[in-house]
Amino acid sequence: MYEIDTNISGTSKLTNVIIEHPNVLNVLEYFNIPLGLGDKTIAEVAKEYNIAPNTLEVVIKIYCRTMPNKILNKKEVHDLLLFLQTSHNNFKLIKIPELKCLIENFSKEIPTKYGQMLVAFFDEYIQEIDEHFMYEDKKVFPYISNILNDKITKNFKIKEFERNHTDIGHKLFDLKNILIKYIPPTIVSEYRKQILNQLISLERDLMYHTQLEDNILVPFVKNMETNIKKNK
Amino acid sequence: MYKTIAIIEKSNIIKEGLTYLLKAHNVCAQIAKLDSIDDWFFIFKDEKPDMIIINPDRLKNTDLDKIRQKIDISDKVPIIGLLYQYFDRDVYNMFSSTIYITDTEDVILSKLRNKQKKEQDTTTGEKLTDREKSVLKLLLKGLSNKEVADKLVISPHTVITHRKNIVEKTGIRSLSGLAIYAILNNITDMDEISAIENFR
Repeated sequence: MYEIDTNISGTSKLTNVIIEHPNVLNVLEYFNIPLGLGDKTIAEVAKEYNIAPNTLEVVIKIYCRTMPNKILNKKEVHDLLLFLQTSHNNFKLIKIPELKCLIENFSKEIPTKYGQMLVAFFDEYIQEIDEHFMYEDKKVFPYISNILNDKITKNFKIKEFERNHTDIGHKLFDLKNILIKYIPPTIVSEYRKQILNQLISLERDLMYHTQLEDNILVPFVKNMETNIKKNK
Repeated sequence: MYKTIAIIEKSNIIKEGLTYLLKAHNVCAQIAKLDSIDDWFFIFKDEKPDMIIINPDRLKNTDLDKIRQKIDISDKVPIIGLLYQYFDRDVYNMFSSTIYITDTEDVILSKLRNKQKKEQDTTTGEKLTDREKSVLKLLLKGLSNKEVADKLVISPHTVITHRKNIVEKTGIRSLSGLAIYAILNNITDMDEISAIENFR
């Protein structure tokens, strides 16, 4: 049992936060912060690794499901953008391929017909998520980078991203149910359990990722758009 | 046991006190302590609470229906009023139940658990009906809602309701996920599925 509270701040010891909320380990990974944190606070760690302290705090709060209660400035949003980009790469190059490998191994333990379906299902998901990330990496993030330099790219508005920002968690949710409920019992295998563990953690990770985009990034950019327009 | 209960209350003392009580008696797995209902959306997005405990003071001129709409929960999810001052009778009549800060532990717990019992009794069975199976079969063949409706001589609106029920019962939202479900449960055959290219 755990509580969702609002007690995290820049002066919280990062180690304690991680023990309470293991999801924060992913935050460290995408910010390239190594473990061996000692008694350092969130703000101290941010300083050491050249991250805007407010950015680190806000990201950690989202990963702990608490209200960030902070509005980021340009430099801080810049760091957030880097974080989101590194996350994409990590998902694409590490987390998803790992999962795919496990699913392939598991598919060999069940009747061929089911195994093929499962692999095909996940391939479809990979394709979907690749397109999703590609759109953000090629179109949305460069647009935001420009905005941070007070430049507005024509033919694009953050509204468009808001509209197109589909939920990429659905298929993972489905896969979870298929593995837990519907694939018939198999010989005792580590694979199914490992897949589920990774699925659940990836699903959460993606959820926080989306929240950062929708609730922190988009409102900021909208604001910038209006300001730039006004000053013209 | 409830999965998530949201407590919407301004006073930290009350919030923490209630949290302590719920934790000590294993009432739920997770407690969200919020200042306003808008915070729920910010943090939880698509997830739904199983119960909301709210100080009427925090309603800020909206009513319970608007709250339900806002986070898209059905009227089965109980909303409990948390009262420690005088409110008009109309205000506390709208809640599923009310707790007072002067209530004893036992009274509060039994009020909350009571609601839970009723909730569990009304959950539907998991098996798809024959009608739902035929809707699913046609959808997997690649037919649109409208086409399915024409074929089964029902309204498109009914098809949508069936779809909703299928998703609710199976816990699977994507068509390709449902394809796997249908094959595993012998509802359809591999060669009858054309909705998903990879599966052909």
